[in-house]
Amino acid sequence: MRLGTRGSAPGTRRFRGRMERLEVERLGRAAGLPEILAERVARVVVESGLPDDRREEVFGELVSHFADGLAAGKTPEQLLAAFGDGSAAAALIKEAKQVVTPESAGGAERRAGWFERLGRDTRYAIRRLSARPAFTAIAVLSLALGIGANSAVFTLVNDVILRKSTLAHPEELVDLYRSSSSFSYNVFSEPDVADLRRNTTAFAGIASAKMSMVPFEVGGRIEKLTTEMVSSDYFTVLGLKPLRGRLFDQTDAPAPGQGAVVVLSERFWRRLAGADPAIIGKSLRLNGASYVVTGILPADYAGRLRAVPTDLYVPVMMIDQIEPAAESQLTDRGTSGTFVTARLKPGVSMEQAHVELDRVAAGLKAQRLTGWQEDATMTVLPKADAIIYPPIDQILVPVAAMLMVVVGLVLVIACANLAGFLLARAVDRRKEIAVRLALGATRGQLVSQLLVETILLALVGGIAGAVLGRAALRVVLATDIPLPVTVDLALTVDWRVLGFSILVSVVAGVFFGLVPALQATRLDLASVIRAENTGGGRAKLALRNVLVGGQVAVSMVLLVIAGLFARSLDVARKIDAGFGARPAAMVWMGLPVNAGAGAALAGRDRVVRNVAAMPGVVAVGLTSNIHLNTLGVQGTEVTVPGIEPPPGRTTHDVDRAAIDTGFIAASGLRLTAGRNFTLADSDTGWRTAIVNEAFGAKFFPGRDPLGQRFRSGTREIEIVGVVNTAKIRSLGEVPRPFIYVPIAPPEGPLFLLARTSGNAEQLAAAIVRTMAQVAPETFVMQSGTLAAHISAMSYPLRMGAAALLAFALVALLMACIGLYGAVSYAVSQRSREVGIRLSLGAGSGAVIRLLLTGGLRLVAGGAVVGMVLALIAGKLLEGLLFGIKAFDPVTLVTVPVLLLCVAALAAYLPARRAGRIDPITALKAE
Amino acid sequence: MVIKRELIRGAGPVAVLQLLKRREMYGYELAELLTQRSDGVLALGQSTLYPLLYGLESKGLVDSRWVELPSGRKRRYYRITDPGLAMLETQRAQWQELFQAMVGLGLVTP
Repeated sequence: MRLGTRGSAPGTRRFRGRMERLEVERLGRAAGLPEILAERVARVVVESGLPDDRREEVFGELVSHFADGLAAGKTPEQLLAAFGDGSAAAALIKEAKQVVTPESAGGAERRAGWFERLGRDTRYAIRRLSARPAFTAIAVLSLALGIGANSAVFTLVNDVILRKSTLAHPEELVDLYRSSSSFSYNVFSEPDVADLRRNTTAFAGIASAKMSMVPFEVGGRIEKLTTEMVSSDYFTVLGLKPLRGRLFDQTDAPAPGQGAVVVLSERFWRRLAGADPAIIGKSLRLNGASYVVTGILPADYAGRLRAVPTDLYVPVMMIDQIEPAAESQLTDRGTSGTFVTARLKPGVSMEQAHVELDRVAAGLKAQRLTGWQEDATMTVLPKADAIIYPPIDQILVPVAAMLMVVVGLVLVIACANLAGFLLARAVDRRKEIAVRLALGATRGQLVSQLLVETILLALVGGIAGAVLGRAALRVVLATDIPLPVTVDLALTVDWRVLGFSILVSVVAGVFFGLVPALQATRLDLASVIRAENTGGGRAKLALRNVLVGGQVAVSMVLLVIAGLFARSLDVARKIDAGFGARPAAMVWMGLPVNAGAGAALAGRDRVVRNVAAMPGVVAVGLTSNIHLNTLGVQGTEVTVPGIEPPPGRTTHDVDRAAIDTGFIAASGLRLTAGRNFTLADSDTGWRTAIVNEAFGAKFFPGRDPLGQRFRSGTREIEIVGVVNTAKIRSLGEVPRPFIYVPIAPPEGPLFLLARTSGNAEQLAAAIVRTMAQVAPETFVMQSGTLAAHISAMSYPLRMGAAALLAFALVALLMACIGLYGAVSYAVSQRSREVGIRLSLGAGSGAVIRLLLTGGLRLVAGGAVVGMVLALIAGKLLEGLLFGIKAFDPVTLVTVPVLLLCVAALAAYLPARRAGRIDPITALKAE
Repeated sequence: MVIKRELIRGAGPVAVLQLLKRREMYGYELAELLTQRSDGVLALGQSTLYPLLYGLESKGLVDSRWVELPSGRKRRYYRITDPGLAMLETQRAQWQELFQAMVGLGLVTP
């Protein structure tokens, strides 16, 4: 029961709006208080920062307090001395006025109290944080950067690497590969797959899939659709269920050429038909034939090669209709591109399967079939272990690991920053905490309050980080990944990693902010209260210095790694690819496969003639296999008298391309000996070849390769020309032998190169338009400039360098913020010392030097540790570098100098302030 | 004598409750009594009595009312509540135990 009416304190008038202290003081005097007492009342009331009605109540009570004292015969001075300075009281009043904790109540009420306390602590934390906007902004920003980087990278890694298989019983599934001594993950030809099916009993089923790009007209534009030509049991072996309709099987495709049915991916269904189920039963035209849509696959299955999502699935029985070739792919072992996934029968182990597969391999080798040389073996891998495809995984996993470590370090720096700030404040708050404990606050209350404040910071940082992370991912996905297929990752910010990052920040905040604050409470209360802020904070200051030094060290590591990658990129840029030095347009041109060889040839020649006639075009050429083509390798098996094949082999594998007479000029290769092809060479088939210098050096050492002969299959081929050695598969490769043969039908898609004296980009666009006009049956797989094609080779390096550099700069920025904070704090802590020095005649320059030296000592310590760690990290990452060693002198000198300069600036700015301290104020402040 | 940290922590609120147990009192009266009888409870001055009182009030351990004096001035009186009495009893028992224990240890004499 209330005994009186609240909010009607006597002796005062209504307080309106935000009152100035003077106004309160005036009211105090009006209530009959002497000036010094009115002033003190005003200070407590104003500092308490309460809402007006509460303020009024406190004002009334304090006025009453002093009036009672005066009435008891005390002098104003005596009352003032007994009252104390009131600042601590103001802070406590503010808090106490909001405390509602029915601790004496039990049960449900106690729980209500817990919620209320949480609400109160939250409000209190919000007020505290908004009272220091600079601190809060910096803490939130560093957390946001750390958490954002982590959630972006982890989302990417999770999407690509860690995502769980959606297939039924994935533990029973194995991927099969054909291995040779040089490469373990060859895929199969269709007849190989048939042999596997016939001669094994270990598997419940063998699913095969061959990828193909199939032209398809959508909305008047020809697109390439990623298509899998799959075995009829593909869906049942993998355990896939339709989202709509049904998935085709044996009965739909009983024999070669029969089975014009298609299953759509959910993604393509959405794009093509706006997810209209009515599409089922309708037909799609693919390569001139109609395919009936039987069903839709659910979205969680992206196809055989994840990250390259499949649009269509057609029965492998239609392979010769989808990819017409001189010989049927179902019977010819010359083309191998079929991925095989098998399901083990219950109770059959991997070892048993392996034994059986070895037997099959031995049988195939005994027949000396194409692809089954002496050294051929089978490789069986659990499907669950594969991410995309083992050779890709081997690059993907270390890159992902490195990225995770890098962003982990960025988060460490962010947490160190947060910890540094909280630590500094813990020292400042020792007195406040001691007073509150003295006034009956429990340790639990203090802990919960500080905890709420830290969690709030981490949450706000986490939300800002999630926004940043999303933005970063959008930027990454917006970069034009130079591949002719759609790479689609279903990226959404991962809440688990966001939660984890926030948790780490909270733990760091609690450990570095709360623990020292509580330790402070163990100090002797009276001495804390009386001794003001001299000493006591030294240990915490030292811990903070360690944090700053650690941040500098981590920044150093990241900057050195980023520097190494940037240098690698620089080296890669300077590599002469051996072709494409002059501006040229490059269009990857698909030819109609069902129009007949003659018609395709006519269309191709029309395009070449028209492009050659375009203004600025210097040379036009065609090739089946452009150099530095990441998507495919064309090779041939050759024998050269007197040159031993590798162990276990009877032939040498050499890369090759079919070219026309214009290719050498258009690509910018140099003919160093002999002659170019003529049209007559094409007519004779493969009787002549041009080779590169590396081929001559390897197979005809010490002799002139010109006029020499080698064998490929049954043909004997004469070398009529020699060109310079261009880069074939990668920029970093050792010179690789290469054979150019005359182009002759039938060939698949061709790369058309047009060298120009003008703008290659515009020329490429013009060629695409010309193709549509003069040969509408052709289609564009990819178009751009030759320069862009070559620079695409360094794309991973470029992305790596860019990402690392971005993270390293973020780290450096945060370390500088930490350093700035530490030096600022040292300045404020030492202002008395600085005041004394200044008053004793020290110049401001000397004072700045003193503080700057203190700051730079932290930097130097961190830099030395960082250099050691950077050298170790560089050594570990040497495999990912290009053209330079981990001990790259340019990087190892430039980076530390840069870091020291930036750090010196971060320390100088606050130190300079110390030089401007007014000695009188500094000494008085104590 | 300044009472040290651990003791002082719980002492402030208990001291106030103990004084209020006898009768209703106003702020200055309480402050004077606390200053005279228990050096150190208000180590930071009488001003800190007020947050202490507001804290107790918000926890429902004390109640207050404004009373108009004959001079027309108003004064706020504090009174212990039933939960306040219960809390005081618990605290008193604990202090008693502590005291006994210290006597037992020979640290203090009764």
